[in-house]
Amino acid sequence: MIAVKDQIRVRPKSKRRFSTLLEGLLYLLPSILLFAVFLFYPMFKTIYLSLFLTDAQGNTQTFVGLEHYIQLFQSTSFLSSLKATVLFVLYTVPAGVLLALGLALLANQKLKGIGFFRTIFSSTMGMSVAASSVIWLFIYNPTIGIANTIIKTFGMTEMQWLLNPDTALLSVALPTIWMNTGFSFLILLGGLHNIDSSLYESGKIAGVGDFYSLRKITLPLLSPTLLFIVTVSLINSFQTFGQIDILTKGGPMESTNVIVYSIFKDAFVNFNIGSASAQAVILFTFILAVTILQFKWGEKKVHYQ
Amino acid sequence: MTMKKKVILYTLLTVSAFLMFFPILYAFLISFMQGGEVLKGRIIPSDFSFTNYSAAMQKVPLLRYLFNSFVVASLIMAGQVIFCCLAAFSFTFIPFKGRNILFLIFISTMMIPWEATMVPNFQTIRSLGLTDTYFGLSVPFFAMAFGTFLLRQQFKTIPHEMYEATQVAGVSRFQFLWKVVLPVSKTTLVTLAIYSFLTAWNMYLWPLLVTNDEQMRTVQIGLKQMQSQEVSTEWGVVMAGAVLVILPTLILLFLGQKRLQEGLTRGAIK
Amino acid sequence: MKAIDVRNINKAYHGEAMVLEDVSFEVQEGEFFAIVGPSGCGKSTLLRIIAGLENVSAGTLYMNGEDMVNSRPNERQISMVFQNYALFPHMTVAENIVFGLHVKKISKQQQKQRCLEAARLLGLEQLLDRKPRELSGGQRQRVALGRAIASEAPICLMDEPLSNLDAKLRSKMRAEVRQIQRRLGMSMIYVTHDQVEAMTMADRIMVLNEGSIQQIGRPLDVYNYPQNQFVATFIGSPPMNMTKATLNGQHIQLTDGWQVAASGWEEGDVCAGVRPEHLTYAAEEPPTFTAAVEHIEILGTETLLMFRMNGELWIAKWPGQWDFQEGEEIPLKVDEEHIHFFQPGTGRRIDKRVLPADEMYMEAAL
Repeated sequence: MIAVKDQIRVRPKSKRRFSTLLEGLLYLLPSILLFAVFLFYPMFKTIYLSLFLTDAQGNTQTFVGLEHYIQLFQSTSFLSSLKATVLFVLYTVPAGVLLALGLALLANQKLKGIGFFRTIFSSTMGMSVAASSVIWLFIYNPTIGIANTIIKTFGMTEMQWLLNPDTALLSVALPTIWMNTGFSFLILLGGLHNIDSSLYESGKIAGVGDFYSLRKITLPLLSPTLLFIVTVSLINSFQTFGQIDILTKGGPMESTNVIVYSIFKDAFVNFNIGSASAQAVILFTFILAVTILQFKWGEKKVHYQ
Repeated sequence: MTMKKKVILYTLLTVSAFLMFFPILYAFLISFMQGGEVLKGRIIPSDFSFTNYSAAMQKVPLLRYLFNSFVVASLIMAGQVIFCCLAAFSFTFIPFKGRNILFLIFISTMMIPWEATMVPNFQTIRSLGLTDTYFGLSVPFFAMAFGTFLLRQQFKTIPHEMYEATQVAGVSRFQFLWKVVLPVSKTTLVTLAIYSFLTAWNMYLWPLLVTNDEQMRTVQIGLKQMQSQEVSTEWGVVMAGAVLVILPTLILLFLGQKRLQEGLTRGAIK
Repeated sequence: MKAIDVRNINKAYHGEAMVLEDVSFEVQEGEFFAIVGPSGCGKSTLLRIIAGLENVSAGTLYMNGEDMVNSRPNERQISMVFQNYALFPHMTVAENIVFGLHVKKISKQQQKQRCLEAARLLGLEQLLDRKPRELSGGQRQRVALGRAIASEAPICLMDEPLSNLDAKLRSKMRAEVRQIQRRLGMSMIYVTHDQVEAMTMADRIMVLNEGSIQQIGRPLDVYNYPQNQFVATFIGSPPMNMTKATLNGQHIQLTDGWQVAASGWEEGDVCAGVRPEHLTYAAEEPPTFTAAVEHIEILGTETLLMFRMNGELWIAKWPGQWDFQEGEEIPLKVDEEHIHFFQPGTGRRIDKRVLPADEMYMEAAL
């Protein structure tokens, strides 16, 4: 038998609880500090700046209240920017999610060599915005790009993809969908993997068709993953910048001047930081609303395993 | 599975794989072409030469850009993994008061679009004199709610008895994190690391804002610069640059595809 | 000397219903003490309080004479074996066994020695370099024991350590755990829901239900003299048969034809209980009562007969193999001394049968 230590410290309960609190916060300190400096502080600063006129350096000059917001909603330029943003979201999110879902269903089959296809389908996740945009810029090149070559083989006339205000936004949407597919595909495929195969087997024993089991088994059980992907895609889409900067620079005729590009231009080209901040606050409100709606809707409609 | 169904599936798979991969393939092919060939709108180069690659290296300091990107992406990766580990550990294994509220606040940061904060962030970095530094390029991204959430999901799968066993043995919390939690969570840590690296490597807007010095540019900005200078004449060179930019991430992705898929799904839905 | 002295411990979560209510008991040095009860009775919470993994709401806890109620688990000189073993999947068996010893400033050499000793004791010598996932359930269990042994803590706490094993292995490990505990002389608190484990392994058992102590005593005393109806039906398999009986005058009337003398009792209803093995076949002598067989289970070494007694299902357990037709009337005999009586409301035992004198050295609390 081991001798018992004579001295054993007795710690009052409340002291122990306090030291636990300190320890917990200590581990969180690095993250909290960074969030405070680079997320919460700038968020409030943005709101603050949106209420002032500033000089080119971003120093506040005069308090103008909601003047920036009022001006924005009266300016055709900002309204067309909003319109472009919403249109862009509509172009990219549903199509992107459907494409990724289709590919994930296709790649979820047990076939020889399926790993190769999975790798190919997820490859665009490794593509940077800059590289993708440069490649698509060449694809869209009116004289030597492959887009027009293909169109001509189908007997149509050449198009000015990125230079025509009617097609420019769609032409930016296409590479965006392509770029985002890799990530969405990977997540959806993982979601499909997590569905218990015995559910399909019992479907097979009941003799239901492929399409029926897709509608009644796969999609309901995949709905949490789908909801996640839709939310992420929406938020990403609202935040589009790089493609616009390289492919169109917001043109032609501001038809692709989506909100983040507009913020960037106002802040770092026109040095109108008050207005840029007001737009940033509007973007924040948009994303907040979308996320909250998703959660509300998700709670009701989504099946959890 | 019937033969007919197999044929249909393979056809669909092949066609969609070709379409998905075509832009990347196209970039590869163009990168080997000489100026004249490009202008004729050809697809297959007549001859695979690396002259475009050496030209790309000479026109802009591409190696320097690659190095910068590598440093920044590695710093962000390390920072995010460390910070997220510490935070997720606290949220899983230290039962302090107010933990749930704090976790909610962490999660809610995912709703703040980074672009909405970029103006003050730029001002902060500039006033600290950190533009054109690795520090300014990387540190603002070290804290990440998604990564914390992903790791917390993983840590929660560790049986609580393991933690209690260390308490009984008198092993400190930090040693429990270091000797038990991290080794057990290796797979998820690798997933997070790959994801962090990819995202950081592909960062575009922030480096555009905080780098002016040619020597500090990341490869994404370098590529954009190259494209705007060379656009009309030397497409082959630009494509060679693009290929050099995407090669590291593509390789990383091909190696880690399976892990990423498993690890990220865990964070997404559970 | 008392290894553990628990006094008036109460536990409630966030002001909700009590999980433990006024629990007091002592464990002697070197004693094997089993806490047994149905799931949710608070036995694991009690063990975790002793381990220092949970706080008490009220009460004190002395370990080796020191007030330990607020100290950390590692200050309590304990080792603990968990239900799921808490083995670290990335460490080898050897690393798992010596886990935590470095904190106690034990030299590498001594760690190795303790590891080898524990491994020899448990027959793990060949497996020291394996990882837990390469082991069978029984081997994992042994590694968990190995950690407790190597820590050389004077008090060992076990939380349902055998419940993940199959029946055959479980009975083998029961004996092994008991032997090791004796050999090392550790004080053991062993939590289980399995009354067979408690009965066969422990020096004393404590029956817990809904957070309060039902009875503490040596296994056979608890079995033979259950202090209330809960203990009577919880300990023993199949459980004790119970029926309502009425007291009229000098007799307790169990059925129309079965009555027992009872002088000096208060009037009213009582509950009567008989263990299955005390319902014997009345071959020669006149039967106490007869009953129609409702169902019969022949298990080889013994036979279970089920019949109705005042509407309740009763079971008789007879050694050997018996064959009856369902519906057949059989004569049964019960010795009066084998009938237990309980108050119907409180469930308390009412005949004041005293424990045999030489067994009185330990308290039969309640």
